[in-house]
Amino acid sequence: MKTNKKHQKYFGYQVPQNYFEDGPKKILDQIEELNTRNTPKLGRYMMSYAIAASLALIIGLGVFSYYDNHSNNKNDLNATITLNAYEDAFIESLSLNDNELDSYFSEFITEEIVSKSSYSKNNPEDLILNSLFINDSLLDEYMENEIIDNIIL
Amino acid sequence: MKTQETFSAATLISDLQNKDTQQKAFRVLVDTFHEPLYWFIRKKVIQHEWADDVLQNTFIRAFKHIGKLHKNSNLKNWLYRIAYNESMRLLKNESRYYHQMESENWFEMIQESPYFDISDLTEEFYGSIKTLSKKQREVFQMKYFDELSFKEISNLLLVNENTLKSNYYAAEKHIKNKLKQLIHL
Repeated sequence: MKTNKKHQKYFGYQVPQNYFEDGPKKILDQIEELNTRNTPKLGRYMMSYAIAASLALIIGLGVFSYYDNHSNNKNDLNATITLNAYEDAFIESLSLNDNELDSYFSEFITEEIVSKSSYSKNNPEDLILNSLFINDSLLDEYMENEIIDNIIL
Repeated sequence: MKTQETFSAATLISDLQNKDTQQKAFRVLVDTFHEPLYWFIRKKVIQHEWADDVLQNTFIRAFKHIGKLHKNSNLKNWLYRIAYNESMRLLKNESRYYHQMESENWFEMIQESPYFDISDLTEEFYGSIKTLSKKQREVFQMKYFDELSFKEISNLLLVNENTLKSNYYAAEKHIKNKLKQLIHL
């Protein structure tokens, strides 16, 4: 017994008129439509490549732009650092080291100030007195060494 | 004969996978399997409209995945497997309908469809297959109505051939006993 008959006889299944005659064409039409709807393989690959290239370009530009900005900032920073270094060096050159300043003071300025001060403050009387003091000291020395020796001898 | 059939199937697969011969080969495939697959699906989903949808989906899926099929594969088995899976997918999506199919009043339900012609024999037959276990019913339908071999059913349901045979003969005996008053199977 044919499959069709068996199903109709036992299961009572019925199908629309000419279903098995028209059915394959309907399915083949659907598949044909599906086939044409799909982009041809070459075109699909080319589209994929174009999309990939565009993405790569966008990402590349983004990265380049980022590093470009980043390197500009870096150059600016370097320039600022260099300028600051020059300024520091200049300022440093203007200022003196404490030790150097101390030694300078001790060697030149103190002596000069003291001597000038002493000269400015010392009037003739002081000078005489000072000389007297020196003389006194000489006298004391003389007294200690010479006179005593003379007396004893 | 078997070697020739295998060779033909292999050639058809090869043609289906070749862009130049694909269209013609697919026409051969649809012409060959359209009706048997329809009945196979119809017994699963019962309603004609759904069987028609599932059948179309089966061929579309086969068309989409034909490139993956090995040249030595069993084309018929592959198509029936797709049809089986598509039927199950529909029943899963239409779970309410599936539960109705399993219920007591499912026969009354199918009578409402315009694509049924219920006779006394049909009614008796539905009554007899309803008493079979799900597995027995499935094997009986595939063997008797779809005329699949035990090996093909075994590949499709992933069940041992001997188990299928015992299920089938038990089902056949049961139905014959039920229907012997009306007709001989």
